Amino acid sequence: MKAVAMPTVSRVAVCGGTHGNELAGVYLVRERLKRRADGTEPVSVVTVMSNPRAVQLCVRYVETDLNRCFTRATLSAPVSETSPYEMIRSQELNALLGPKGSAQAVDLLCDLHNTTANTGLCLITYSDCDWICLHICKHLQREMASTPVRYVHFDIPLNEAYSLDSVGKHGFAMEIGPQPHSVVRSVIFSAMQEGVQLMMDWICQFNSGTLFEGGWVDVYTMVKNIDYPRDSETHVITAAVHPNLQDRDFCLLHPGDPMFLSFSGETLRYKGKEALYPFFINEGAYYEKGIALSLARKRRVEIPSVLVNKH
Amino acid sequence: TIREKAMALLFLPALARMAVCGGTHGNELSGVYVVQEMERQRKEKGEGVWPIPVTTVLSNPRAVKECRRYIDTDMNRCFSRDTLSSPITDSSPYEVRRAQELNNLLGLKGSTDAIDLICDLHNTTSNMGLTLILCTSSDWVTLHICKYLQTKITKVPVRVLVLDFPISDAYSLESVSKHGFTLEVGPQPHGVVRADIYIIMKEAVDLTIDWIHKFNSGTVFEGGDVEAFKFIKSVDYPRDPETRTLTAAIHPQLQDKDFCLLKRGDPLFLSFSGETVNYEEEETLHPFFINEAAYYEKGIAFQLAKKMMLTIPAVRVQKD
Repeated sequence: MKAVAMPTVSRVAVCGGTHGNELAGVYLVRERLKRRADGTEPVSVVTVMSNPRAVQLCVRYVETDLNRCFTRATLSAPVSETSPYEMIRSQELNALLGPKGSAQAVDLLCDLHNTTANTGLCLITYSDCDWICLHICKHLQREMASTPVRYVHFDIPLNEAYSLDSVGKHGFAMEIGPQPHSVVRSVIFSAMQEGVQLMMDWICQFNSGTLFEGGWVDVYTMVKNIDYPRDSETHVITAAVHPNLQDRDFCLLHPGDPMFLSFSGETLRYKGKEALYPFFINEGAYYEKGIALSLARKRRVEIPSVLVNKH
Repeated sequence: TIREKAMALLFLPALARMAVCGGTHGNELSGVYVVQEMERQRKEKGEGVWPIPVTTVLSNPRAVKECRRYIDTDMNRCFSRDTLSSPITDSSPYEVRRAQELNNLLGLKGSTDAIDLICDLHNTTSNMGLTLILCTSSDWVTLHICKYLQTKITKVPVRVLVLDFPISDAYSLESVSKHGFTLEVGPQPHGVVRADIYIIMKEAVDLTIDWIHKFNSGTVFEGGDVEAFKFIKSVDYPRDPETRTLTAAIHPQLQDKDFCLLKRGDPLFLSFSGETVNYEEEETLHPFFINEAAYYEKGIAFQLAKKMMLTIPAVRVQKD
């Protein structure tokens, strides 16, 4: 592949507390806000606490999930005092960091998240051909010795993309697990801090003219979600993720493999025809969304060398 | 000698009925699903499904429905004599109302009508394996149950934690019955049910029922020594003096090390700006409830205990 010239990544946003109980991002944002910029930073970074009310109460959200409020429809809907808090807030964030889809939007938006699932570090984004995001992923994979780093892709068009990271020209959620909600684990905080620092280092090097060699990145593209078995009347779950699957995010799941263990002791197996990669296995916030795990296909994506185009 | 053995044997009344309570904290899910499964079994197989009478209770149904620890106030602090006898008004917290309902159902606390045993099911984000929490170190029934569980359960460490409250000050659900204990299993995130944790909790409940049945049937349970941890004190996080927000997290070397030894000079906290805070006290103690999510708001980063040996007599059911 030929080298691709791309514009400078001049404005970056680092957002935490989009879910108020995902604490590594909350404390990272607080720490960054304490260290006030002294004007010598090579890149302009805005650090934002996305959902301050939810952070204050240490809950995921106050009225509605903020990270589902960034579709075009929700961003352009009329708001009043009676609108849900998160809807009002998403429009504020869009004005601050966007508007989504316009030339004024920040060049890169990194949104910090935690999960109860054993995912390691994932960059989650809507594109499988965003060379900036893919190169940042490759950089983190090279430099982070003790944390697995993976690239997860949701194949959704920009207008329907619902999360905060879709507001920037480039963007991703930096998701790190496992960490219980409302808890901050030191190693998870450190990994997130390292991930953000490496991202900033890459951007600075890129902006200074470094050529980043192309290569290959494994991309996990989301295919479908699987819900828990539920009682047909009460809708209450009747099984937990099977011990053989629990904590095995990104390990290939074959047809016939155990998926759930009912509370009365029966094993329920994966009935799909295609072996797929499970992730977000047993994420606490997804019980109410009807998701026990997500399944992805993996493929190698070739990425070109990239170089800054200073015009 | 045989005579010494006979003198050491204690006769205690049979346990007519026990209660298994889940969802006292609505987001501690193993207990919620253990109670759900037990109710399903009862529906399927009838009252004889267990060898002894068991009452199953979902302690805080509104909190369970919303998957929150509590609605207005922590229910597991609402069982003090004062709270149980306070007049209920329209502005009473939901949990205070519900605590009085549970006291009517399972108590009255302190009376002869109170149910014989409450087993209250809890989860923690701390790496505490199976921890049996007792308010008192002198209830031979609960201590024998602990000893039995320690012998029978080998997959995870089974520890006994004694709070040593004066009975009159006890404020938790298991203080309502004649005998009571909390069955705490971790680590599990709140709002999540892990199959491995559920299985441990279910096994512990089944073994408790098993012990009571054997005891009531006349089995002699030998005395002996039970290793226990006695609560000494709580330690808070370092906090910003103005905002009261945390300035440090539990140090990686302490995280997940519940019940290990903590010695002077060992690291406790790693600040978000990279500094280590060490344990400066002389006394070597055992930390537990390390990084429990629900305790941030209570100002507790971890608690400390002293290890001790409790000697318990042999027991046998008293036949009328």
